[in-house]
Amino acid sequence: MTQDDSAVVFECSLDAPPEKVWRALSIPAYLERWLKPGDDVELAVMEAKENKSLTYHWREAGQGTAGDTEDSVVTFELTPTAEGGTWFKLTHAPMAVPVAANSNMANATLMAA
Amino acid sequence: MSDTDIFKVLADPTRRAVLERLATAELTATDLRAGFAISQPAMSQHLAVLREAGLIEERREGRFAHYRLAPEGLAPLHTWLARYEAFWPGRIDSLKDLLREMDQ
Repeated sequence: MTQDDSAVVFECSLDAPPEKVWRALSIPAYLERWLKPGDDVELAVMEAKENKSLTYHWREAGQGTAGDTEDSVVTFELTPTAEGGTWFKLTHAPMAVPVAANSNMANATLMAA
Repeated sequence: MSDTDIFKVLADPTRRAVLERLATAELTATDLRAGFAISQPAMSQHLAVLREAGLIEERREGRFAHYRLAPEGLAPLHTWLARYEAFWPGRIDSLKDLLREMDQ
């Protein structure tokens, strides 16, 4: 058991500057359009650094007994690239399993591009 | 055992360290305490929680109890990870589509 297998991580480059990606991630109407979170998911902003990183508390009604919920944390990190685009990194982890912000999770990283 | 429960069990750093040690060897409670500033009753408590969660197994040999990882113990965590590894790629594609449609 290491931290490498306790989070889902995706990284890719996006053909838009961080300011634009930030709006797609932080404005609810845009978020709804691409994320389509579903009726059983509640999202709440936990931490926001404009144009740099955004962390949501992802609360999902469980499929078991009533009132059972699953808490997880989704963090989007945006880094400007030399070409004027954005290097995008998404980390999704169960809330109860802390993931070191700077850990090198090479094993769990999947290229989404 | 629900996913949520297993995550609570794994939230404790001592319990995660115990699982890491047991990943490579079967050990007694005394072996497991080596290097930890932790009392014997506290370690027993952690081991009990891990056993109840189905993450470790105990084998008695005379006065000694030996502990090892339970083979299927982390299955709920792996199920959770697999679900979101399947979920995100399509969403990231949708994000790329939206970025093309948005105004500057």
